Amino acid sequence: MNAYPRKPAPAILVNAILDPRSLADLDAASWERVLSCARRNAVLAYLGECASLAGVIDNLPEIPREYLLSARMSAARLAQLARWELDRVRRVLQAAGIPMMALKGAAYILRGMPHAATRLLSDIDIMVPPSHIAAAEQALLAAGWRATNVDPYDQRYYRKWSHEIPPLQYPGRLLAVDVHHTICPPVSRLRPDPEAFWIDSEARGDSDVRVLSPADSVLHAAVHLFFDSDFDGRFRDLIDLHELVVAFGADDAFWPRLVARAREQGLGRPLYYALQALSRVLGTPVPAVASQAAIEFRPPLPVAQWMNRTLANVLAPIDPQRWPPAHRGRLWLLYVRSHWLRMPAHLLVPHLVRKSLRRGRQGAANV
Amino acid sequence: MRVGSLSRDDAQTRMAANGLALHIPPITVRVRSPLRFLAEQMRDLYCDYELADAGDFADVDIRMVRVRGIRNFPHTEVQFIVDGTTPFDPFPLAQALPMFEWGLNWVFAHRMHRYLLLHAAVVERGERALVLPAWPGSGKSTLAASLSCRGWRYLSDEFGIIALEGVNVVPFARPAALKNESIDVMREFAPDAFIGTLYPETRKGTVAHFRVPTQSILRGRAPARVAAIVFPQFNAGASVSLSALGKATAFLKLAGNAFNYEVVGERGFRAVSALVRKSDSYVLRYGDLASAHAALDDIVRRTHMQ
Amino acid sequence: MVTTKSEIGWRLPAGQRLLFEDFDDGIVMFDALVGATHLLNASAAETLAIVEDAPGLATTDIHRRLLDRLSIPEAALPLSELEVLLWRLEDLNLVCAVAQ
Repeated sequence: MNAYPRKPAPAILVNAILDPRSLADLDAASWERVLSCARRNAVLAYLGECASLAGVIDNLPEIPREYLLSARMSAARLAQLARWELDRVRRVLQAAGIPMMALKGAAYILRGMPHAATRLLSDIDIMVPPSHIAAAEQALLAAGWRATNVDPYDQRYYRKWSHEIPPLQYPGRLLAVDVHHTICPPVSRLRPDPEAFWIDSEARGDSDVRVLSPADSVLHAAVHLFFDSDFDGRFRDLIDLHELVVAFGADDAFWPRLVARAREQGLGRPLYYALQALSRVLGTPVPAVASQAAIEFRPPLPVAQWMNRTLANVLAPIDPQRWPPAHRGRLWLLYVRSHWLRMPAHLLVPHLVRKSLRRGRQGAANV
Repeated sequence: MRVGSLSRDDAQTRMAANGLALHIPPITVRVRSPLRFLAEQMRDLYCDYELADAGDFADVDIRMVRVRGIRNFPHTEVQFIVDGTTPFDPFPLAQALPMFEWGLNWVFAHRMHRYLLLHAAVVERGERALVLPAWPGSGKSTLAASLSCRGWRYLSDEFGIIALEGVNVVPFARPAALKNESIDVMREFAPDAFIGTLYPETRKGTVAHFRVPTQSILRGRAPARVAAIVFPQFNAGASVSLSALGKATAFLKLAGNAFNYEVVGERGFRAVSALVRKSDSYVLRYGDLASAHAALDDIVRRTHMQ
Repeated sequence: MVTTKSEIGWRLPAGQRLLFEDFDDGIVMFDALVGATHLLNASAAETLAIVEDAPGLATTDIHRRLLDRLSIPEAALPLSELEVLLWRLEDLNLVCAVAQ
């Protein structure tokens, strides 16, 4: 029917996210590919939410609509479980007098952000002050949580190189708890001051669980996207960044604060990449003043040009039709990370391969 | 046009090119694979199902590809790919079909939340459907397969698909996976029934698939009203006994064994409540198929008299 | 920190919705906030219904109403048992305690 070559599914998907009304024009074959691509990139529930907020979901054909709704239900259930897990952890840490901050998905849920219940979590991330990390681990273990990997290699890795104790899981419950004490790995070139995050943090709800300030939330998401995330989840992580920027960016005071904070905390480089990526892949609205200011954080021009050229490729949605999948993005991220983590490559590569193998087995699948 | 109307070569060519697509109500599935024996085995088991065009919308698109074996021997394993991901470890190459069947079950259970998905076999006689929930030792697949050889309609051996608005169950008729001794039991009980290739040494022992009788396929997508929920318990040599189950107990057993009760949330709670209220719940202990059949016939007869 | 019994009142958590289905062999309840399903006996079900109908009641007041609704004497369900039940429900986020 269509004489022209089909647009690739990643392009249709990005289009649909930015303008859900474009979903009305899709034929059956395109629908199949967009649903598959959204699933592959763990944004099917998010796409459903975009369609719903744009007021178009009820007008979509029945079958795709039902898949969008089903995906939203799955993700909403995970958000419900995350709230429960946060509540259980809060009770224990509060009784032990340990301050607690929710990070990433758990924080988006506490903030009531529109995309919070569309994410396929497999764990919740919390942070406690560095001086309390051992006490927090003890309190949770005493209350019934169990360390999830007893592999001595992983234990050593987590404690020495990372910013987490090994994940803890309560027997019989689905979501694990990652307890952090800072937002960047301790040996990395990025050395923000954890105490500053606590000082600027905000309280949420009628409990004492805190969340990062808007500027710190964006900076953390930027650090996570480039230096911390799974190879597979990067488009989804970019969407998180986009949502944060859209939510907080409406306030004019946010942007100068963001730039100043990045400078203060030595997180200018991740901010620069983040704004570049958002602009190139999603066209996220960023005030010219802010993009100009971020140039201060840019690496030397040849590096910047190479990085920016690669960004759009690496962070665009993965196309599920390609088999075997492309490796280019992985190598790029590997380089970036080994550089910033200051970890010898021969140590970094084996660990990340083990990590991704283990996650694959746990089967937190993109459904 | 039905899958069985394709020649063996056609089926293999389709599957290797743009995919063999077929309607398995309520969904359409496309399978792409270069494995000729897989096309042949599927053609046998799915011969009565309607073909779809490779370009039609497919709810699920599955690729089954050869992968390098762990002992470095090339191409001795098969991998299941859906949406560009591999949710499972590879299987031995010869087990491509069981892998496809189990994989499709897994995919279905994870994305069809427009329904409440009970883990159960479902059969129907005289406009009355019986839900036979799965639990270890239930023998539900063998029961469902054998009943379908004695005039019952076979809706499913794995999924009790409950429409959220009512107490209707929707069919999802797929070949019944028989294991170990059940294979011989079925052959003896229904010598004319088609049982496919034997797959020894799978993760669940020896497995073979019972082809759904044509009559059941021809009934198509028509839903059925649930008349009773019967929890089967097989014990070789035991005499048959039927005991009524309290509704709260039946509720918790059903909800506990459903694939997606927790995801569906409040509507799932309402659906299970309606189901146990509007039907009778039993535990059926049996030691042989004939006695079990008689007991189930009896249940249906009783519901007709109400 | 010691509080006397009459200083604690009980209500449902904000945004909570409880759905009940009564069967002959037990009461099944859905906690819509947490997404959990529970099997309750009559005293637990009635206690939750009382807390839902009259938020903020003190433990002793709930006890009086409960005995009345179930038509049982104090010996069948002493106040201490109700307290244990209420704290158990609190731990499951089904009720929350408020200072009076």
